[in-house]
Parts: sequence; structure tokens; C-alpha cells
Amino acid sequence: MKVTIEKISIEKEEEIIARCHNPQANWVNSVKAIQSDGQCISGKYDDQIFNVNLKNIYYFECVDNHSFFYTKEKLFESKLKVYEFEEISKNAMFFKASKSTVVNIKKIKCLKPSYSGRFELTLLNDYKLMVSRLYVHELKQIMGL
Amino acid sequence: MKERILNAVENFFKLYVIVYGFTIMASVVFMYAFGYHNLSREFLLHAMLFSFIALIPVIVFLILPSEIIDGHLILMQIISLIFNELTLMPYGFHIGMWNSVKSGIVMAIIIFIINMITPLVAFGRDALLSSQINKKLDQFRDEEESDE
Repeated sequence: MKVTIEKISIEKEEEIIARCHNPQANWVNSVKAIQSDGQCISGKYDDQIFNVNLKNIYYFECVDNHSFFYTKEKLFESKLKVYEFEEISKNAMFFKASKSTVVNIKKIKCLKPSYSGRFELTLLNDYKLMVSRLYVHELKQIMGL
Repeated sequence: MKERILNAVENFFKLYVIVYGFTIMASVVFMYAFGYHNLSREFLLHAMLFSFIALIPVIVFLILPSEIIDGHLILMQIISLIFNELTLMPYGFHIGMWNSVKSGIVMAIIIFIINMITPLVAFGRDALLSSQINKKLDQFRDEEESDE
């Protein structure tokens, strides 16, 4: 693969253009992830507001009009709606696992079919989530399968 | 919508081939067990129609936009089984696939097994997809670790 680095003047905006054969390839996903590197969202934990890096979020969930996101051990309350979180995380390897859940792909340990007609997803912190079959196809596309 | 219908048609024909193959194999085994040895072209055509009728409830299952899960999945299987037993038993009798209580029971069991094929095939496909995704996730993690 050819890599071109061009030095530009300070007035111009820095930019990455990826010319690829497969937009779902791993290296393209890594390039996309650069955009979200360091991106944070705020969440409430123990009556205090924290800024949490997207990289540390395991999944985002909306339950009864209340939104939450989970890190390895903590649960934060958020003011974002599912579609707002989806928009923020679209370049950060997240995928919609159900109508109300968005999961960080990098935090998935494994996926297995369930007898209920859905898929069971295990996260790196051993937390289990159910994934709708419809949304698994989105994951399949993101993974370039 | 168009894509969903095309996917449904594709999946239906894949299942149809499996069910048709199973119907032929099971029928041949039981025909020989009951002493019949006439695998005619007419029989193959009837088996084709038989398999198609058996999969009619699956068309609904494949075209529905929302997923059928948990209790609804079991209910769907039960409705499908009842529909198949009620339509295929008289049809099977009419074309001479069964003509005694014993062969009728065998026929009912074959219809029951055909009904079990659909969820088993779906589960097998899900297992295959899961293993592909898990492999890709492992590969992804290895690349991340080597980058670090």
C-alpha cells in the first residue's frame, strides 16, 4: 500500500483521505477511529459529572426514557438519546445491537447464537447482552464479512 | 423492502432444497421398510409439492419485518406444525404416501421432523456467522495489541 504524507500550511485544515478497495477493511476502520480518538461524552456518576472517553465505554443503553452508558465497572447516566449517541460514535467502532442499545465492538469478547432466535453477546467484563438478528448483519458489515 | 423479499426468496429456496432432499430420503427409507420399491417420477413430483406445502408457514416467517423471538418463535413453530399436519396428512393419504395407522404415524413423524429443520437450519447459520465474527474479533484484537 502506498502512503503519502503531505506537509500543509497552518491555515489549512488537516485531513486524511483513504483510497481503498474495501471500505470495511480493518485499516480503514482504524483511520475512521482517529476521528473519534479522544472524543468524550459526559455522564453523571455519584452526583458528579465526568467526561468519559468513547474508548472506555462498553455500551450505551436507553431504558424507560433514561440513558446510561457503562464502562468496565461503572454505570453513568447520560442525557443523550440513542440516535445522538449513534451519531457521536459512528466512527468509533460502535454498532447498534437493538433499538435501545449501542455496543463498542472493541469491547466484545464473543458472540454466540441463542435458542430464543437472537444472539448472545459477551463483553470483555463478562456482561451479557442480547442482540437482535437484524442488527447482527450491521456488525457483519462493519467487520467486513 | 425489495431486498428483504429477495433475501426471503433466496432463503426459502435454500430451505426448500434441504426439505425436499429430506422428504425424498425419509420416504425412500420408510418405503423400503414397509416393502414398497417404486420410486416413480410421479412420486418425486408429489414430494416436490409436499415440501412446498410444508414450507408455506416459513414464507410468513421470512417476510415479516420484525423478528420472531422467544415465546412467539415457539408459537410460530406450533402453528406451523398444526398447519402442516392438517394439510399434509390428507394430501399424503390422497397420493398414497400412507394407508395404515402405522404408516400414518411414520408420516406424522416425518412432518414433525420437517418442521424442526427450519429452526435447526437457522440456528446452524447463526452459529456459522457467530464463529466468523468471533474469528474477525480475535484478528482485530491481535492487530490492536500488535499496534500497541
